[in-house]
Amino acid sequence: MSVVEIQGVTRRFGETLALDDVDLRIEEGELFALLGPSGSGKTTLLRAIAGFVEPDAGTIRIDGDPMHHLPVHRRDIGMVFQHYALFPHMSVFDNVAFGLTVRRLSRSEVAERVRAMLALVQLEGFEGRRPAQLSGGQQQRVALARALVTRPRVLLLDEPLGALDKRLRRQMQVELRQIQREVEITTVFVTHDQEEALTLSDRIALLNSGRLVQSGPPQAVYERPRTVFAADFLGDANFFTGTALGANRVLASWGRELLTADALDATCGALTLAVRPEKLRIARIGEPEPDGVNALAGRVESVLYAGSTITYRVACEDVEVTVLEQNREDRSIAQGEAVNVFWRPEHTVVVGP
Amino acid sequence: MTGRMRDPSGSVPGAGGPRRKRDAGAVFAGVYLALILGFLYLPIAVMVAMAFNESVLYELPLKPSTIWFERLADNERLLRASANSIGLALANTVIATVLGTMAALAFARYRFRGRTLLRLLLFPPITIPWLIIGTAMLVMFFWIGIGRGLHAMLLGHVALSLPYVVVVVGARLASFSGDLEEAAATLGAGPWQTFRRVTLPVLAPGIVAAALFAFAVSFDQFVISYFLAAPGVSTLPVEIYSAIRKGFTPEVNAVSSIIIVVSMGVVLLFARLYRFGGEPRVGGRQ
Repeated sequence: MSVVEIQGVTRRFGETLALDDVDLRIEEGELFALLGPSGSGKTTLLRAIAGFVEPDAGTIRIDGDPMHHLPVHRRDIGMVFQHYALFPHMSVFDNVAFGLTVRRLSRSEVAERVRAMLALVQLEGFEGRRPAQLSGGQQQRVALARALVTRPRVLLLDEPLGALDKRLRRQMQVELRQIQREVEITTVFVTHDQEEALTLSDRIALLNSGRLVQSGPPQAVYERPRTVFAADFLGDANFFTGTALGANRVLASWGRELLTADALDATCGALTLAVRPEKLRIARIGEPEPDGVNALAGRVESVLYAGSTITYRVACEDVEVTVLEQNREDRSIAQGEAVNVFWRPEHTVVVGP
Repeated sequence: MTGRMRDPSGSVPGAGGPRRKRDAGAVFAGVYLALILGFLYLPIAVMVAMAFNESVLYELPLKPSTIWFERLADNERLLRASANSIGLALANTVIATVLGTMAALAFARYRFRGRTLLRLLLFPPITIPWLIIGTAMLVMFFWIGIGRGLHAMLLGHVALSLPYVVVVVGARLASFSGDLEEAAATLGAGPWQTFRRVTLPVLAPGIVAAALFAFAVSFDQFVISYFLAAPGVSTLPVEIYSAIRKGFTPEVNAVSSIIIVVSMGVVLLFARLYRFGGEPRVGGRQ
């Protein structure tokens, strides 16, 4: 198991800053997600760790060893490519064995380790097949086995599940997680799929325009986004603007006082607040109201029924909010009804000025 | 292709209209194919037949004989020209394929100054008439002292076949991304191992096709060989040309027949080994 340290890494492609002074530390055995929209620099960062991109400034270390100018083939990494990049002219066995034969291991050891690895990814009996004869999920497993068989210090995954259909992706997420735990390998993976990042990783780094926006465990980043971008990219959010009044109190732009659990004082000035749609509760006028919470009165503008969930758009006072409700109640609220919307102070997240 | 010709329902006598229509289509396709094949192969067939005809004047009925092949064995000039042609074509194939493959790799995998311009400059020689290129080479080679002879011909042939090799190998290279080479690097393979174990095998069908092209361009080459041949040194096309001018002998048919058999054999062999035009398709094989 290994530690990957990224310090002040900057990389420019022509005019654009692909990476702008990024600092990260990926701990031993961690499954770490690099999340961001396209062009955010997440792939460039992964490729910098792999050695395909040389940073203009900053250092990348694996277990304390600086990677500067160390060619890819001497970095002792394993990588799974987005489109797997299996060698089309080789059998499954030879694909997996490649990293071992390059290292000139004895034939018996190669055979033994390839067999063990194919067993791990549940592809026994597929040794003789060509990549073109495998399904997408099977190719994915071969790619993973090939990357792991050399017991690299770090496993890098570039949108590993992007080419699979949704059902298969779910299944592979679980398998990937299991295998990663079993092999206990420090893993960095790139994804633009926020759900994948949340379900799969120990920690997430959110990138935008080459800059590290926020990092932390999925729950921390999701529950307490620190910027509008983070709140918006990772999940959905209702945004309000206002001014800090004092500890935990904000005067919303339309004149109502909102409560938050985030510590504030009057010097904070103008603020943007975010509330996740699923944190909002909706109730008809006259239904019992919880105490000590934020409440807004409004009228239902639209109802979107999606089976397990119902999404309400509610025009409240001066803002429109989205409420996501589990389809659990026996009642349904119709368009045009007068309602109250509630949420707890700790769900009001201050995301920026 | 065969699906159109074969009727899956088998031959049912007195079947309905659609069936008859399909039959008409199949007949038309058959005739069409026969005409094309006839157009391509009939002249060759006639020539091969005449190589085995005893008569010098191509008289029919054909009297089978191998006399022209025996005469060919004694025809010093034609044999030497054949040897020159084969040697030249082989040398050209090796040099042009190696250089062209390297150039194609450079164009596909590296970004360098003048790349676009160089790539663009590759194509005009394919379209410039050989007569003009031949003249230009003759002038140039005299001017810088290379002169005429087999070495000059080799230079000319390499220059001519290089663009074909770059184009054919380049097309193959474009069909797979640099991912494969990157994957090899992450697995610990250095540049040379990556080239030998990944790039080269994946490129192989393209390289073989390019080599066949290079061989054909050289072996077929008349104009440039004619211009650059030193007195007394000639290649097969040049020798055939002068033989025809002096009076045609069926020995030319004999040597041509041998060439046809050998070259078709080589092409068919490679077509079987590598399916040109992409990865082997996956059949129902498990």
